[in-house]
Amino acid sequence: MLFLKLKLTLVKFYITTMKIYNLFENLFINYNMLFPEFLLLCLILLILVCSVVSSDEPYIRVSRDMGLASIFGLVGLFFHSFVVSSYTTSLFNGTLISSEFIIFFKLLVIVASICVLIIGLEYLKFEDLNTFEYYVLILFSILGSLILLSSNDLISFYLSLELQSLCFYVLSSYKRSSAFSAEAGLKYFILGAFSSGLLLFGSSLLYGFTGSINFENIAKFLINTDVLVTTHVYNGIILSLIFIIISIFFKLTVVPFHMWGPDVYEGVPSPISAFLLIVPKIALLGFFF
Amino acid sequence: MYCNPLFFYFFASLILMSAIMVVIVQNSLYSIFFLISAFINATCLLIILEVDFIALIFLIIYVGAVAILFLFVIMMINIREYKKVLSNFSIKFIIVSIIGLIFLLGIFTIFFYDFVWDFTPQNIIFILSLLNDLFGTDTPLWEFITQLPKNSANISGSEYINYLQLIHMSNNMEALGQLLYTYFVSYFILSSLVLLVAMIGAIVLTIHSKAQIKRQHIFEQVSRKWNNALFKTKVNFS
Repeated sequence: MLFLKLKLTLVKFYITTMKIYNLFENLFINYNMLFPEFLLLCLILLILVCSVVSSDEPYIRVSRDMGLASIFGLVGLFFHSFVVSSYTTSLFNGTLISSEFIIFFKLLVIVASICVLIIGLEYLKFEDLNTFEYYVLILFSILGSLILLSSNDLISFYLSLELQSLCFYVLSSYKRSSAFSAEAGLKYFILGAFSSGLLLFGSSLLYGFTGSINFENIAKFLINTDVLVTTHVYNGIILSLIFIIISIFFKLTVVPFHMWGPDVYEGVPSPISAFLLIVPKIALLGFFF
Repeated sequence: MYCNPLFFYFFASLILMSAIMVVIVQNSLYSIFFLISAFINATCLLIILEVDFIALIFLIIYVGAVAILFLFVIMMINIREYKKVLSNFSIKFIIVSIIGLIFLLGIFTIFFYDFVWDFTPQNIIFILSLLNDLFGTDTPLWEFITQLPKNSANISGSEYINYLQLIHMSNNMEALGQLLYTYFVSYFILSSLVLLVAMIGAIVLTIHSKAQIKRQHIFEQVSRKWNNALFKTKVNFS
């Protein structure tokens, strides 16, 4: 009797441990794809805390140290991104996905932003803009574009795009002493907010017409074109897609919505204009394909 | 919740009225008050539509924060100077409004075409039954569910379950709380990051860090003793 009980408890123990093991196995395999994002977030928080703690030090030294720290951290991130498994995986109930293609674009974003940070090191000294927030904001926008690349959902797409563009609004009006920079920042902010509004309107229409926010489900819905043309949902979906595409064209400065481009790129500080020209374009194009 | 659709029309027309008044009224302080009334009516509308969480958020954020912010802005500006700039309806305004109306009509035609304007016999019967539900005195769905036999009744030896009564009913806030912290935790974390960026951006754009500022050195103050408390300094009397 005792033996039987022992055996039963052992079996129960074995089953529960296997359950926990399976749970964690799934956890580690899936969370592997978010490894660069987690690392980057840790780097940002570390830089924030370090620079707040060392606020008594002279600004020039803190800013230079934080710049070097962010560059080395990004180089580390570049090499760590190879560790990420190249299988196509999804996380958080299909809100984020990862594949080999997406990882390639993430590497591209990281390399471009390393170059921009190296340009910015001398520029900040030259223009006397010695503050550490510059690096924090650039790293946050890199984080936003990394999440944007792996977003598979209307809400995560919108949130990561906002995370990216909020950093850009602040960065473009970073040089407070010049009127050009302030004008560029204001223009960029107003047009960006307008295009975000269009994006939200379009995505709410798309959700209303298809009944799903997941891109895969929407694609499954849209594949059945013969049924779609006969039903009247078709026009509404076209309208919502037009709104979304207009807003993305605004962000990409594609031709009919390119008028704000020269004004903004002229006004903002030079390394930031290089950053604005390269990184969000890579992210959005990677997201598009 | 069963509600008379007349309430919906009442609040919707009030919203439209106050939205038009926001644009028309010359004094910008009054237009802010009309904006607040539009928000409050929208809250009532949302409560009727049973989205109570969004209704409360509307009340807190739009009335409590945004409208008050607008009020502050208006109190900062000298309104009398801006009154002269404002002109009445001009030719430009009319042309622009006609172009806008054309686009709006395009969107509206798509909506009406897609949603209602499909009068097959089945659809007409469906719409009539919906109208009967709304205006007639038939029992609404919830009462229909509760009037069904109880959970597990014995009818000639066989048991059956009324699954409608086993449905877990939860209001909006409970459902949001249960989903937001479990399935959609990535949205929660992402929005927290967006708020952190907004805070950092506000600090960056407004703080003025001067080099020649007088700071309190706490360590010096604490470590001061009787023999170094009094000291001489050179003072320029020029």
